[in-house]
Amino acid sequence: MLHLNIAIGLEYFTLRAEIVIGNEILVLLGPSGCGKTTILKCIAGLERPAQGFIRLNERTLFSSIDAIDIKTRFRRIGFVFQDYALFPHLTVGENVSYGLIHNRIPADRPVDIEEILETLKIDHLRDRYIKQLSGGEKQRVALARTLILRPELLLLDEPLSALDSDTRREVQSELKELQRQWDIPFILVTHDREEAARLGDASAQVSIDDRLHGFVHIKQGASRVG
Amino acid sequence: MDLNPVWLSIKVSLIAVSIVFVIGTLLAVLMLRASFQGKSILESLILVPLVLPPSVAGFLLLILFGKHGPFGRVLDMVGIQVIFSWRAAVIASAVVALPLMYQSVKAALESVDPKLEQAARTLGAGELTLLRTVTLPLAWPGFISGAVLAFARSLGEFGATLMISGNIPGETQTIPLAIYTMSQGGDLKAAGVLVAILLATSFSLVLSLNIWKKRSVLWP
Repeated sequence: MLHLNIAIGLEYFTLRAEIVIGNEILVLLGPSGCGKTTILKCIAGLERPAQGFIRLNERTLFSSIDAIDIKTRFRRIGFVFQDYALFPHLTVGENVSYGLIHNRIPADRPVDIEEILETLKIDHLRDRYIKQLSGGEKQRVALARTLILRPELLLLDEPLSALDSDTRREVQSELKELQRQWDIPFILVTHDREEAARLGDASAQVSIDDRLHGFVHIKQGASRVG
Repeated sequence: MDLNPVWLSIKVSLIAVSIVFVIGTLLAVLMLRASFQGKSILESLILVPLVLPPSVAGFLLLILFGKHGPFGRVLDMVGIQVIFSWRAAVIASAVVALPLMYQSVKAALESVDPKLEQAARTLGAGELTLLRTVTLPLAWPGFISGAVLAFARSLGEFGATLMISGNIPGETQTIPLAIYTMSQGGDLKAAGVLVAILLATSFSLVLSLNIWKKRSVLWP
């Protein structure tokens, strides 16, 4: 379960976000520049909120009151970046196993690399370099790279924006299926309403009021059962 | 034909580039990763040899490394003579070559997409690990560029070298100094040979660098 209540100072306004979710897909909707990516970065520890707290499964990742700010590499959170941020100098196999080799806190039961490559249907791409992959394939590699470490939460920043509409649909249902399998919270950022409707178990609109105060407020019930 | 200047130049430049490679890299990493006051001042100090006349650089080095200078005194105690020795030539070359190495390395490090480094952090890598496994593998061409440019620049160092290492044949008379001396002395033929060697070497270095950059497809 993820529970956070933070205030983020952005260029023109302050964004307040309060989110409580269980093992489901939360979609953050909103126009560019409204701060949705910043929320993800704060959760991952790549940026720091001005104040508030972030708790994931009984662990406090950030607390301005208690002066806690766990470094990114210890947060056990997976992040799929907007253009995937795959390492161009490594093969698909090396990208996927990067975390296994270099992780400061290895997962208790790391996923077998063959298994994850098969699950995401990229085993045949193991020795290819990133340049040779299609958008959809890159997406899968990015997912494999994070999921192999059994993160407690997965963040996705506009994961489907670079894909054509056919691939998008396909990947949308695969993402939903993945989340069911992994049973961890997914937070997905998009500006596409339709996508939000199709993917999200819950969605939150990032809004900016007249006084230029932005807010996101979403509280969901108990985590998914079954 | 006395080719001492050639061997001397090569020796001095290779040593200068080795020093500059390490210091230039450390400074570039420091500038980009550490936070401290006075970054602009430090960077300007590193880069100023690019625009100073060599005599100014030579003068300052004389003050610092001369018998009564801060560095000179310390080295004198250890029995190392700097001024009017090949060591001074190395220092002069290093000072003028440093900005080139520093800028190359800094640009190369900056060109690495920060998202890749962020991704590495989310995957659990520590700062040194990500430097070693992501940043450096992607930035190394800049290191090569920097080193080659630094070497070419070292070969051509004249003014500061003349001032602090003198013009002692066989000891500190590098190619540029030899060319000067020979031209002054009327031996244009000998000077011409050295000119040709220096020109050919520097030109090929710069040319190869350009071609390599254009053609370089680093990852399939």
